[in-house]
Amino acid sequence: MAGATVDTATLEPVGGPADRPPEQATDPVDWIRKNLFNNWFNSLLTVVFSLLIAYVAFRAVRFVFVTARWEIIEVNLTNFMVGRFPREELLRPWIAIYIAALVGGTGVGLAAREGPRLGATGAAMRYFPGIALVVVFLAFARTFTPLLLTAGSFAVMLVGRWVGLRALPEKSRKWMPWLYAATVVAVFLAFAGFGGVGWDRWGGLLLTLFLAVGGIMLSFPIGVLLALGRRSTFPVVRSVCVGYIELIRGVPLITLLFMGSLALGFFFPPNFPRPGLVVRALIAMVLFTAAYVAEIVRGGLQGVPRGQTEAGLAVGLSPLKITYLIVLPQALRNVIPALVGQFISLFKDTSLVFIIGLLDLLGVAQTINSQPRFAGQGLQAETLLFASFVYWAFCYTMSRASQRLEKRLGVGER
Amino acid sequence: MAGALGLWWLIGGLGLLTGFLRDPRAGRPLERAIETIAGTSDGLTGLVLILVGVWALVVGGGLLRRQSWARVAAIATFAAVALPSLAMAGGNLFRLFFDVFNIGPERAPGAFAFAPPLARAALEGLVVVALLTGESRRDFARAGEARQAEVPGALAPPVWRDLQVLRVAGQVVFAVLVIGFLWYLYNNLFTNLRTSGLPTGFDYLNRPAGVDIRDSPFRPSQPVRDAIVVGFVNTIRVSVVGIALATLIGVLIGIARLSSNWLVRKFAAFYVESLRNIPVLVIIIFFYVAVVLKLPPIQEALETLGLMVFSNRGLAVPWGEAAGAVRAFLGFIGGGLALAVIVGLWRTRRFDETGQPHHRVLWGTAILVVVVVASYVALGRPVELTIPTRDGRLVEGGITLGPEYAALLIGLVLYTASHIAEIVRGSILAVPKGQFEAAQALALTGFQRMRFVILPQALRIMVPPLANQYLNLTKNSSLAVAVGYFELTRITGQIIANGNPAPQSIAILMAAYLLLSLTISFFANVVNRRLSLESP
Repeated sequence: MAGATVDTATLEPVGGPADRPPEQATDPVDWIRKNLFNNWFNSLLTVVFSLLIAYVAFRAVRFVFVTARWEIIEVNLTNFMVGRFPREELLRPWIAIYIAALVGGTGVGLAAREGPRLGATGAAMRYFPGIALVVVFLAFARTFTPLLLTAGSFAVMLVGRWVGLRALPEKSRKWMPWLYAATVVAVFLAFAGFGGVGWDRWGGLLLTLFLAVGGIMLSFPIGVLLALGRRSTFPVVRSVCVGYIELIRGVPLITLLFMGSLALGFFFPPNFPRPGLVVRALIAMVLFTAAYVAEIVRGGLQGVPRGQTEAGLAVGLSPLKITYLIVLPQALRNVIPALVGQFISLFKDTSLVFIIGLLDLLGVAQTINSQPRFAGQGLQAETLLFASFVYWAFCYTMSRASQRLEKRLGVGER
Repeated sequence: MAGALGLWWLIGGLGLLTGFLRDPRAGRPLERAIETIAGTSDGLTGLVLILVGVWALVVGGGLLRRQSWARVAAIATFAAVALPSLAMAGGNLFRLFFDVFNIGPERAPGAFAFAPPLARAALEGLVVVALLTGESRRDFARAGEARQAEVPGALAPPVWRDLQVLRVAGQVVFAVLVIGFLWYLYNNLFTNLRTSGLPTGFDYLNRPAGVDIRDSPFRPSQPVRDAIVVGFVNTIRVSVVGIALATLIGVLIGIARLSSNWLVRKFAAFYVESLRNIPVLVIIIFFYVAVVLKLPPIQEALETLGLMVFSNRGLAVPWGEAAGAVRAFLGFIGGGLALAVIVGLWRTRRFDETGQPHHRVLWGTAILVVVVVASYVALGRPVELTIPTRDGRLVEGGITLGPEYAALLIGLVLYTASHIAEIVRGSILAVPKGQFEAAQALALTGFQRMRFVILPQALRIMVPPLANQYLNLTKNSSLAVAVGYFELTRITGQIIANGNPAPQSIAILMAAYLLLSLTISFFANVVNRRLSLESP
């Protein structure tokens, strides 16, 4: 039906409407006539959709600003953030945020040395979901401390950006992967080290992020090995890898989580100390994600021209060296955007651990409705919308960052 | 490589030795058979077996480079003699690992006693088949012969640097490690099930399920097996309906994203960008607790347009109700479809032969409509459309979708539609611009452009990712476990909660999903092959 309305003006092979250069300054009436009322069918659509959008917007605005009872979020903001993390240890998350802000700022600064600058407004436009997220978090905070600490972390990030942009020598770039790895360890230690809090007491957004980041990092090496195995010339190795990948990709994540929570203990030796539920969930997610990472990496491996391998053979490198010196670096560079996509998908999938009884972001959103103060009042819409917003802001920011990365790496342009 | 191999053998031998020395049990059939082959029965068995393995590898490797019958014989000898011992070594290696690190200090007796002979047979079969059929190996062998022909008198490399031998050895090592690990897991599983008094087989499937399934004639006294079947059918029910609706909405939104109407375009973009970035589980739960359950109670149900009754007991929509010879009617519909297809094919052939306009869609539709209407009248209105009406606390007529089913369906459909919309948009944009221009140059109308030029090409790009989304929707239907619709995962969860063994139940669950996935993949592949340009 609406197929007839597709016209060639909008069908450009690249980008799509959002990425086109800004419209030439034209008469607004002209613009409206061209974009909303250019034929009878479009006029009808415009009227219908205006009414629909107006109604939805009215209901949404009225809910958000009038009828919703947001105090359930205000009271439970800390629960949303860290779950049952001991309140006297709350300094630890902030230390972690500061470390991450410093290193992240440095990385951004280094990256900003080349390529077109976005500028402050450009960056704000691009990362508006993330900024909106911080604003919403702070709006729900009932004290001034988080505001001050957040402002401090932004300052630290700007310092890091300056360091990355101006202070660091150019050759420091090659140390950045190590710095990132060290940062992950440092952030982890900030939570768990020095008499810290074990992950069985983590919850909320912290648990969600832990499962997503831990899941992708642990599944990456396994996925690379599986991808190499799948392209191996050894029939035994290949068949085992194909079997594993296809088995995992054919079943839903929740069955693996069930396996982790209900059946994993059976596979350990008798009297083996059973790992906690968080670890078992993480194992299930790593096993699951590894198969998907393997398929992504395989795509990257297939994209490396055969001549590269042959060149390696010609200079007398061993197959192992050809793989990790020539093929893998090119393949991995090509699959970074797809890996970010997988990370987004994993981030969304962490919500499933709520089903096996962990209190992640969704788990907190659901369980706080049974607190004595809010029980039976039907505030699920508020809590679930808040959780949805947090998920959305993270995923949307990451997917925009990934698009930018894709452009910068020039994937698919060679 | 050779060094690693030697090290592995050393460790494996140690593992084997310690395994035998530490284990009080002896005299199981397979071990005894190996001991007979090796000619010993004391603690030195492991060492002897390792030596036999090395010997088989060296001799086999030497033979490999000569003649094919000898190669086969060598592999067979090797498989028969050395592999069982290597597999045992592999299994023991993992045990040794745990022993060394003192995990699991008291192993229950009989950890290895239940290892099925099948595992061993499978291992040997796998390795032998792999060795005999390996393409690459044959290539290497051919290259080796060519090399020897070119350079007369060239020295063959020593065994430990011979690529062929190394390749075989590497695969054997890998297979042994994998099988040994699986074997180890299997034994742990078996022992653990035994010690916790759970059944180790699948006999529990015949026990009464004790699961109460709403909206189903299933009784709790029926066996577990039947409960699983009910769940499977419910999974298919939600998947099929979900796939149809998600495709419809997704295609509409995808086309709307390309509309020349600014408002429509932005609305579609908003829909896609918001729903795509929220976990589907959150969407499903939201529709369950914050939409469907928040509907008014049945006494004050919303009666939309006089056609539907919405309440927190479920959504009632109009539906056909059987009022006579439904089967005959369905048979007529099927026959009409077949006839329409046949006529369509005939028209296509006429078109190919004579060049007359085929109008096959017109012909086919006309025939189908005629058959359906005629049989409908002839059978005396076998199906009647009933409209749900509320009568006090009861809803009569139509079909009522339970709140769980409705929430699950809405959540899955809206989420998957956002992904399908992106696929549709991307596929249409991926058709080269020159195609549009060529169609315009031929003075095709807008509809003709889409129907005959753009969509056929876009469809070709669309099929694989679309099939992927169908797979995802089917797999995501397992999230019903969070809202309580009785599909496969939910029922399996209840079965496990009723004291049935988790590992077997989850294995069945995974197998069922695998079956569904493979079925969808199969059909997707068929369609893809039909549409692809170069048929294989």
